[in-house]
Formats: sequence, C-alpha cells, structure tokens
Amino acid sequence: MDRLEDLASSLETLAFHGFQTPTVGNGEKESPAIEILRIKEQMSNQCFEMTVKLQSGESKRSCSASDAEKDLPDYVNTLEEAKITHFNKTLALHRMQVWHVISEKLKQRDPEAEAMRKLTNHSLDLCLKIKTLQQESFELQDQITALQKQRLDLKRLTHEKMKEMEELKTKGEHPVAEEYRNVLQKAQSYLEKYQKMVAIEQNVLRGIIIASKVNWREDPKLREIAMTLEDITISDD
Amino acid sequence: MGNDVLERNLVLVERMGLTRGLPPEVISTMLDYAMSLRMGGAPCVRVLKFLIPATVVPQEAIVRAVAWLCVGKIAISTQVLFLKWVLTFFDMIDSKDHLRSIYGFIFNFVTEEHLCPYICHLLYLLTRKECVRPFRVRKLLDLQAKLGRQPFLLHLLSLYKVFCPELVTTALPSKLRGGFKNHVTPWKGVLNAIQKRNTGQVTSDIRLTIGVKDGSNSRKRKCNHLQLPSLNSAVQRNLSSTNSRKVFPLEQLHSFPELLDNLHRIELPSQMGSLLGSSLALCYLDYVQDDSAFLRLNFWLGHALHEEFLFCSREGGSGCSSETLHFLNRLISTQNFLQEGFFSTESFLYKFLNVWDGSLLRPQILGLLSHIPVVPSSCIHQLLFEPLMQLFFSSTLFFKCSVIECLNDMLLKWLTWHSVYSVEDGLDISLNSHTPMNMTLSGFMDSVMELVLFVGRLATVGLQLEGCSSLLLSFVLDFYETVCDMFLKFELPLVVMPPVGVFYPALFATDPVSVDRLCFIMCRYKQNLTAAKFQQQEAKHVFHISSQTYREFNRYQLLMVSTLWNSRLFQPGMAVEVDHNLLALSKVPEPSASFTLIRHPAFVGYALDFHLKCWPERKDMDLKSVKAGKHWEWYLEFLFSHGYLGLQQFVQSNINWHPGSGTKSQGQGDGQPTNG
Repeated sequence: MDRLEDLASSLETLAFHGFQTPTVGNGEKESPAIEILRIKEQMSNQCFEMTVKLQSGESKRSCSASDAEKDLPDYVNTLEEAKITHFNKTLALHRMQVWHVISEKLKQRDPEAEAMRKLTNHSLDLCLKIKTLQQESFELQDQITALQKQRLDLKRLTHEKMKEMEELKTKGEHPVAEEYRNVLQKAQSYLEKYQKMVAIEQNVLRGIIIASKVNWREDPKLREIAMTLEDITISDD
Repeated sequence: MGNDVLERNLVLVERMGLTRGLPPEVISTMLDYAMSLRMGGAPCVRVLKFLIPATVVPQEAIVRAVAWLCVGKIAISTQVLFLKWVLTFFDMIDSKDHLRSIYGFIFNFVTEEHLCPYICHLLYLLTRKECVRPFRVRKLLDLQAKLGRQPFLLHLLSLYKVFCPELVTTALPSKLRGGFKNHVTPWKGVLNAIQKRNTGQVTSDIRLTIGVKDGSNSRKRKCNHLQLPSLNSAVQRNLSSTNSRKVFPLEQLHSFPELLDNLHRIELPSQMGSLLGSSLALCYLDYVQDDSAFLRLNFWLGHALHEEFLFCSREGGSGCSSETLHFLNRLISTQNFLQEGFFSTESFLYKFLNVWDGSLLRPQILGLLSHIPVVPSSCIHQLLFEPLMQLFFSSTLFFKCSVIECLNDMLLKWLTWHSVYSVEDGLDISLNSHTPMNMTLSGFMDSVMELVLFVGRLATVGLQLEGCSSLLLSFVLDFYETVCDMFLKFELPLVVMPPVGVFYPALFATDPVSVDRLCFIMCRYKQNLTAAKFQQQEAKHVFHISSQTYREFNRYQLLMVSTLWNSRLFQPGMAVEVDHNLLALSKVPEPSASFTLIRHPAFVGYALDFHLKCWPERKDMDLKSVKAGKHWEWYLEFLFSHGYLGLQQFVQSNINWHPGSGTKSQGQGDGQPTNG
C-alpha cells in the first residue's frame, strides 16, 4: 500500500509538472519515474535529430544536367507565375489603401479637398473625351480592316483572272485545230529547223566578224547585218 | 612632243565636261574620237575621265564604241575604264534597243578575264528573254567551272534562270548576297561637284548613281531612281512614235487606261528602284507577277538596305538623313499599296533587329516589321521574338507602346490575309505570291498563337516595369480587342484569353476608360465563345477550343462580377486571395468591397459626384446611401451615360439584376458558358 501511495504521489508530481523532467540538483537522487521520463526525453530528441538528418539526406537527389534543363522551363514558369501573383496582390492592396485615403479626403470640405475634387472632375472630363475618341478610332479601325480585306480580295481575284488569261492565251485560237494539227506540227518542225539554221549562221557570222577584228560599224552594209544578228523570234509573241 | 592645238581643245572640252557636263552630240563625237585611238591611248583615257553627260547619252555612240572594242586595239585597262563608264552612266542612255541588238557582240567579251565582271553586269542590265540561248548558258557554265562561283556569274545565271528555267538546270543559291559593285570611282568627285553646282540641293535634274563606300558623302541613290522615269520620257517624245515599237517602256505610262491597253508589251526600266515611286508601275508589277521583275527588285532593294544600314559605318552623325527617311517611307507605302512585303526587306529586318539600338528610325523600322508575312512557328522565336525581347526590356515607355502597336498591326495583317486566301477549309495556303512556301491551317494557327502568347508576356512584364502606365495599358487593350474577335471577325477558330498579368492591371486600373474597355473585351470573348460552342455542336467545323479556355474565361468572369458587383474581392477561392489578417492591418473598412462600382478608383469620382448631386446639402458623404433603393439604378444610368458602353454591356449581359426591384439585390453573376 505504501509503495502504491508513493507511486501515486510521484505520478501526481509528475502530472503537476506536465510530464517534464524537473531539474534536479546534483546531489539528489532521482526517482525511477523521473529517470524514465528523462530517458524518454533524450530518446525523443535523438529521434527528432535523426528525422531531420534523414529529411535533409532525401533532398540530395542525383540529377544530370539534361534532366535539370528539362525541368527548367517549368520552374521558370512557376517562378514567373508567383511573381505575377505577388505583383497583382500588391497592386490590389496598394490601390485599395491609397484610394481609400483619397476618397476619404475627397469627402471632406477643406480647401485641399476642394482642389482634389476639381482635379478629379477635370480628369473625368478628359476621360469622356478619351472615350469618344477611342470609340471613333475603334470604328475607323474596323472600316480600315474591312477595306483592306476588300482590297486583298480584289488582288486575289485579279491574279486569278490573269492566270485564266494566260491559260487562254496558250490554248491557242483555232477551234478547228484537229484538222490543222498535222499541218501545224509539220510547219512548226520546219520553222524550228530553219530557226536553228539561222541561229547557227548568225553565230558563225558574228564569230567571223569578231575574229576578223574589223570595225563593223563603219561600213553601212556590214553594220546592218551586224545589228540584225540578234534578231530571231524563238518565243511566239 | 605634244600637239598644242589638240591640247588646247582638249582642255576646253575638259573644262566644260567637268563643270557642266557635255551635250549628247559632243558625247558621241568625243567617244568616237577616243575609242578610235586616233591620237593614241593616253588621250583616250583622259577623254573618258571627263566624259560627263549633261542630259543623255545617245546609244549609237555606245554601239560605235563597242565596234571599236571589237577591233581589239585598245589596252585592257582602257577597255575596263570604258565599261565602267557605260555602267556608271547606264541610266542616261536614251534607249537600249540597239544595244540589245548587239547583245551577242557584247557577250563575246565575257571570256576576257579582266572584263568579265563588267560585261556580266552590263548583260544583266540588258538581258531579255530572247537573249537567253543555250550556247550562252553553256558558255557561262564553262566560265564558272574555270573561274569558280563568282558572284557576277551567279547573278547573271540566276537572271537567265528566271527567264528560262528549263535552260539553266544547275542549282543556284536562291538569295544572293550583295550585288554588282559600283564603278563610279573615277567620276565621283566630279559628279559631286556638278550636282552641287547645278542645283545646290539634293533634288536636281541630273540624277546619277553615286555609291558610297566610306559614307562620307551623302547618298543620293534612292531618290535618284524615282526621278528617272520623267527624264526618259522627256527624251522619248522627240523620237519617232512608239506605236511601231514592239515594247512600251514603263516610263511612258501616265494613266491607268494606258496601262490596261499595253499590259502585254510593257518593258521594265533598267533601274528597278524607280518603280517604288509610281503607283501605276506597282499596279503593273502586281498584276503581271513577273518573277524576273521581282527578282531584280528584291535584288536592288536588298542591296540598298544592306549598304545603307548594315555594311556602311558612319563616321559621326546619327545616320538619319532625310533621304533615308524618304526612302523608307516610300518603301513602307509601297508595301502598304501592294499589301505584301518583299522578301529582301524581311531578311534585312531579321539581320537588322539584332544590331538595332531601338531608337534609330523607330517608326520606319517598326512599320516595315509589321509587313512581315506569317513566320512558321519553328523559327519565329529565334528570328523575331528573341531580338524584340532584348530590345523591349531596357527600352522607354514609348518604344514598348510602339512595339505592341506594331505587333498588333502584324496580327491584323496575318488575319486579313488568312481570311482572304484560305479557301473553303483549305489546308494548303500559299504564303506569299512569290515564295512557294506553303503553310497549313494548323501551322498558321500555331504561329498566331505564338504571337499572341508572346505579346501577352511582353505586356505582363512591360506593365510591371512601367508601373501599370495607362498609356501602355491602352495599347495592350488595343491588341486584345483584336484578339478577342479573331473568331467572329476573321473566321479563325482560335480563342486566346489574356494572361493574368494583363487582366488584373486592367481591372484595378485607375482610369475608367481601361476598365470599360476590359468589360467590352470580356463581352466580345463571351460572344465569340458562345458562337464557337454553337458551331462546334452543329459540327460545322472540326476545330476544337480547349476546355481550359472556357475555364479561364469563367474564372475571369466570376472575378469581374465578384469584384465590381458582389464585393467579394479578397475572399478565399477567388484568384486574388489575401489573408484577412493582412487585410485587417490595412485599416480599410470592408476591404472586399473596395473595388465595387462605387469605390473602385476609376469610378469613385463619379460616385462622389452623384452623391453631391443627389444630396447637396448633406455634410458627411456616405457612399453606401447610393446603394439604397432607386438611387442605385440612377447611379448606374449616370455612370453609363458618360459613354461607358462596355460597362453597360457587361452589367446587362452578365448580372441578373432587375431594375425596379425595391432594394439593391446582391446580383448573382450569370451567363457563364458551361465547360465544353
């Protein structure tokens, strides 16, 4: 019974102290309960230190440079987003505070407030003007864009028409081409043959004139010949 | 032993030539005299050096001189000097058809190694389609094998290729850098003196091409060409009628009906730069779509731009002469007229952006920039965005505004082009009439998306740097006015919401105009999204607007209604969430209601004005009384009557509030499109 009483009283003391180990003088002998508490505290401290060490060890991951580069845009984006959010919140708070003070001031009746009210009215008038001008410029811009669309459309149509014209030109003019086709082809081949001959002759003649180192300009007949050496219709005009 | 009589006469002619220039007959005679070597080689060189024409050079004189060249007695250096002379004064030759008749004779000299570059240049200026023959192509290719890929040969070959692609089958670089060199050096000083003497100002009758390498002399080249057409036509009227001629020179066009009559036989001038001034010439260029003309024009343009801005180093001065301004303005108006850009301008701009300081000729450079055709999304970052970003961050407020305006213009042009040229859900759109690059619809949408996102980023950072300046905000909202209507106005199935960095500064803006515009933009977004959803359900188009876009829109809507109407700004769950302890620190009563329509910085002036009008005798103003009863309705009308149509539209379409109800009800935000 006595021992139970002792235990109960020591537990009571402990509870009173909030389960912390009371500081004991060096000479005093500790009761076993207090010893156990002390050991518990030590162990919990050690466990805490170990957890901390483990956690710091976890963050040391090995990663290669290319892995880091891949993650970099994401981190940059996160950073930017955080910056923007911070800026916006700061802006909102700042504006809220400043304008609260301003509106309080504007409500009063002293000369400073009077001056501020005049300024406010003036800026509101300007805003009205700005609004009308902006409306005008918005409508004008719409008109300009519509006009540009129309012009570009016209340009496209013009090009299409020109292409059609080219196709019509190359198609030829004879509706009754079937009958004349053979004749035309023969004529064409003769023409080409003679054109080639003429070209060769022209080249030869030009070569002779150049090689002879004569001034072809002086003699009128030679000049006439020389000036026509380039004339040949290869493409049908 | 000098010949005194000869010497005296030569000195007389020389003096006249060097001071005032020589008339055409004198040019003829003197040229013939010199090239015939009647008195030896030295007088020939001397004569060539003072043979400055006053008005025109008769082409027969040149023909005769070429004949003397064929005789072969002239020293090579003198031949080179003669060719340089022809090239320098080429624009003053009255007509070129005789020269074309002796094309073959001129071509013959291409084999002379020392003469080759000059002959190639001369041939480049004279070539027509008929001149391109297989044997000439072969000769040039042989020369190329011997001399290597010289630029002058490459230029001539590429011109041949433009005329007859089937004859020139070798691969040629599509964009040749630089051009033919200027050969004006022997006459440079004299030309300057004559110009100064003749008129004393920049614009004068004698326009000569003066290329400057060291930049110490002013450049008159660009203005020059613009005056040439009138010069030539003044001469032509003296000659026989042009009806018998096969071709109709472009310089003689004076009216649009004339252009239509002669459309099939117009001959382009040798100096392509002169086209930039005349709208008739540009019409012709546009209709006929002549590749060789565009090649030559781009060539000249690229050369002029490079020399002016990239290669020439200016000693002192800002390089911003009036001619440069004039030239660039001309170029911009040309591109506006044709509604497309030149590819030489485009490549020049990409290079120039990397070295630009942001202030030299800013309006002109940005004006040129807005004409750049759609850039594929794979290279848009490197070519366009990187240099712009670098310039943007350290620039003035006005530069930031100008860049955003320029990109807005660019977007408008891209969208206009798309709405005209993409036909019936066509997937293959040819990008530019002259570049065969094709772009699919999705590629185009990618590029547009990249551009819009880029401007969003620029705007966000710009607003942060400039403290949410109203001017910058106004330009940014201009851009988003274009973006919000991409679907309904331009039939492009793309909707991109503005980023938070733009939305919040606009919502919390201190001027009512910005808030009103934001409301208007949000209304337009709603209409675009509703229309898109409707069409998607009808399965008319195959496009798909992502659910994320709808979510973003809903979030913004909710936020706007909560802020402006519901007094729920800083509450948890809203995007701008602030801890209530922090709010309490600010000592502002009812912080969540600090941006409603009566306390918003933009509208508090109106609220106070309204209060004064309603209760003029009240000493202490209490804005809450505006909310009571009929006054709220009147206040809203009062607000809308100041022209804030956007705000009115927003309130009417999104807020379930019935005027006429007794108390001001806490309107619930409404009208959010459901998720897709």
